Amino acid sequence: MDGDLRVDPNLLRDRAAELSLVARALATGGADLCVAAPAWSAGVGLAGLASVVSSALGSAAARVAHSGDLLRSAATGYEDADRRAAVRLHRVG
Amino acid sequence: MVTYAQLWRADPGVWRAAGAAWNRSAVGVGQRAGELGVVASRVADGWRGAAGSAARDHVRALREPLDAARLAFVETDQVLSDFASALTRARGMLAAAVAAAAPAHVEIDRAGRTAPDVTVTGIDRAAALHAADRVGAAIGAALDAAAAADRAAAEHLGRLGAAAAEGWPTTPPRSRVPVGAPPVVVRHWWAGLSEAERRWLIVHEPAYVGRLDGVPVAARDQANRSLLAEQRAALVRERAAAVRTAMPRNAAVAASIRLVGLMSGIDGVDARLSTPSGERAYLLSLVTAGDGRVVLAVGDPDRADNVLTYVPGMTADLGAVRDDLGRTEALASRAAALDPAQRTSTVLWLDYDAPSFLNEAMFAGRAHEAGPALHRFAEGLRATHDGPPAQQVVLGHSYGALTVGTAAREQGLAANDLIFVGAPGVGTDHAAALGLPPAHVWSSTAANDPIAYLAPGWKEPFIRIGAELSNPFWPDLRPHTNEELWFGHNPSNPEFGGRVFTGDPHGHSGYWRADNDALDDIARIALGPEHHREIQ
Repeated sequence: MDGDLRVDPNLLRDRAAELSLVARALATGGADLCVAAPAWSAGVGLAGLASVVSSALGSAAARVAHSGDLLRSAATGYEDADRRAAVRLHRVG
Repeated sequence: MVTYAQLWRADPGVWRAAGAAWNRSAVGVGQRAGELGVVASRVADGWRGAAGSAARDHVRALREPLDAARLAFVETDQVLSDFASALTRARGMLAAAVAAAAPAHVEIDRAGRTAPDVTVTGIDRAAALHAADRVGAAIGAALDAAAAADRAAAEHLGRLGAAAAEGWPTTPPRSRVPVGAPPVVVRHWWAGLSEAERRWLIVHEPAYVGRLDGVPVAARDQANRSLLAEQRAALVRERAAAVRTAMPRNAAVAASIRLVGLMSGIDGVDARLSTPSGERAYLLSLVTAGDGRVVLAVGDPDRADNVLTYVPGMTADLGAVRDDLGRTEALASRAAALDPAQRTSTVLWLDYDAPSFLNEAMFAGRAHEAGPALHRFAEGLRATHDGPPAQQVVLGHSYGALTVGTAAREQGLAANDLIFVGAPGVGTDHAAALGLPPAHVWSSTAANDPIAYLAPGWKEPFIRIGAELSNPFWPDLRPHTNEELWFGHNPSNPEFGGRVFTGDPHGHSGYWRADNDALDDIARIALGPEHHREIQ
């Protein structure tokens, strides 16, 4: 670490908002992926695949959303640390 | 097992539509992956320090499973489109069997069982029983074909489901193939990789995998599709920069025209790739340098019974790709119409710098430069083909005929037949020099194709003198079709030694017209020897 520490909490929140949008799009994507053809093995296989994919994309969306939360909480953490430091310094006078 | 009623009810269109939906999902997931890449690169803008770097790496790592998911979605589209094509063929076989039943006095019940039609009197009972068996066997063959396709699709979808359940893992490959290795070596190397290694290569090195002859067509298609959006975006950026900075201003205009042409070409390719109807298209290469190059197959060549590779000529480039895509499509449609039971893939091979103007087309240099790449491509198709080798045919039009002839003569072409249409000569004076039996070298030149009047310049004075000597008072100076053309003996002349087929007089670019018999004959050559006797 080179000691250069700079944080813009608002920019972090912007990135967090972008991650939330990506997560939402991932969670809602994918329509008409199946064929209603239970007599065909391919139809059954496709339904199984669509189900697994939906679950996998749901997990991916959750990870992305969680990453956004981490950025938000980091921004809040930096602001809190700054505020606490300011309070302590005021107290010392 | 697939039943008679089940196959009658089957609708290939719904499987194609589902494939298109998976393809749309692939595009959507690819966009989400791209957005994560942007967030990863920008997160450090507002956050310098160890935690900022960790956050950037963390967001970047979120992207990889999405890139891998995108590939899996494209692969699902490939599986479903392939299944739809197989169903179409099986239904065609079934329809043909049923159509043959009535004239042979054969009845078919609802379960597809056949028997002689007892309501017809005076028929030869033994012959009717034999006909019933024949129709029954044909129905059985159609049902077997459908069942095999259903089984194969289900197994493939099962493997995709297992990979999805594991989160589409990727692993860097343990081995690399040497640069310049022959396609058959590349094929062997690819077959030895794990699925996770192949996935890693397509995700991380799509430009490398996408153009590598010897890698299966399906994998190249996944890689090249993943590059398309960024290739177009790069052209947009390049154009903006050219408009902003190029001096003098006419240079900016010229650059802009070229770049807009390339963008239009990519849009044309993208539109064909996204088409939900008809045979699926496979993108085997797309390069935006220079005038742009593209290799695109209609139908999967690796799984086709017949593969027809079309090499276009002068003025062909990415910007004008719609015309050549239309020709490639016309060839595929005609072959399917002539023999629905066979699977024919047609490939547009524009992976060379075709001459833009006559000043370039006067020389054979572009054809010579293209030879090694065309040779390698054809070898690659042979190497990656599933099952017995396909009937492989290479078609050259105009300057493309010289390109095909030059590659066949100098490098050799992995082809069963060569076809030349509207050729200005093919770089040799005899079919025997092309490395194939002359009976497998075909040519056609329309009666009104001006290419047939393209005698070499040095001959013109002699032609004139000859005409004046034969009739000093009224020399015949009208243009005549010449035996000697710009690049050698006319391949449509019997002395060339190949086989000549005829077509209707629709000029230099009319060989693909729906009403031209030449199109039928090209399709018949592609369909293989059993169709050759119908060629006129």
